[in-house]
Amino acid sequence: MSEPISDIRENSREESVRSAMEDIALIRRMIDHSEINMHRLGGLFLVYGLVFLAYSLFELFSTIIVAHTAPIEASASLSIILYFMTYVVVAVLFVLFLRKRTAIVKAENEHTMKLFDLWGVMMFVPAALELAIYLVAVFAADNLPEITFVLLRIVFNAMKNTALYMCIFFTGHYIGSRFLKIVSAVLMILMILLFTCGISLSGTGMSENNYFLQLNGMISTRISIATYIQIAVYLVMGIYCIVKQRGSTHGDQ
Amino acid sequence: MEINNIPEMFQSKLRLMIISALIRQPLSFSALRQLTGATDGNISVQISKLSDAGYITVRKEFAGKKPLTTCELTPLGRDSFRQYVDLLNSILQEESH
Repeated sequence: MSEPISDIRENSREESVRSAMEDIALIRRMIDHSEINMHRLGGLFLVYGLVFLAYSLFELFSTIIVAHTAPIEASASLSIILYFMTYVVVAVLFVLFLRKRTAIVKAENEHTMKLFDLWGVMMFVPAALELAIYLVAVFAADNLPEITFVLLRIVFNAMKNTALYMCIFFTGHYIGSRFLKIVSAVLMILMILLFTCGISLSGTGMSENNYFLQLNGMISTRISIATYIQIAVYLVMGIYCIVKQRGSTHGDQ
Repeated sequence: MEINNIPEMFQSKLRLMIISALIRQPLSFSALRQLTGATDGNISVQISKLSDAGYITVRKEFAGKKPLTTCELTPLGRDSFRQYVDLLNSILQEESH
């Protein structure tokens, strides 16, 4: 004897519900696995920002203390120590990065790791450019006029900042964040203004030494401003990524 | 979308996995293979079917010297996926009442 119609309908309904539950579980799993883990990136940005902030504060306070208490020779020694400390900071960040990468590589998907690696490479751009300036200064100092070094400092620092803002733009593009794209565009404009406005490469009405001293001071101030902007950018991006991840997770549920 | 006229594209688990994975961002062929755990041949067939149905677009380019195939959900694919999820939710809501 065949099954009653009501039983067939009941079985069909149960089958539909079971199938719907399976499909929803599958969809959730795929979305979770394909999603970029912004929390990881946020953590990386916060570490970068905090390490650079600690270094900048150390640089600022040690310069102030030495300038007020020690002879001029001590200031010169300090600037050399601070210069080489930038490489120590990069080495520390590299170790932190590698440790974190090793810890998460098996748990995270390919997309999160791609962005993680992009920012790992980004960490070396400033150090590589600093090293390039140093090598130019050491090997070509006798052959190049002083104005070339001023120009090189401007160009290298502009490149350093451009690399950072390009990375922010690509990150924004990759994760579909209009906010990060706009931030990178605004910072790019700000950086162009910072390294071009009010900088004249032909001094008039003063001796050549005074002119270079003044120009170097101006460039140094602007590089410091760019560094503080960079620290702020890392910290804001860190907080933004962590907040975005939290919002996204709750929103999906 | 009604329960008795679910598009063919959602009637295969692998095709549903591919569409779900693409909902957030475009993905490369290798990323899709890694996410779904399917074989190259199987995933190629399903990508072709989804592409023929207008649910995804397939872009082929070179990353350096290596070929890179990227899949992206079309507005049609996105709309159909939303409708399908709405249908699944409505089935589960009916069951809970």
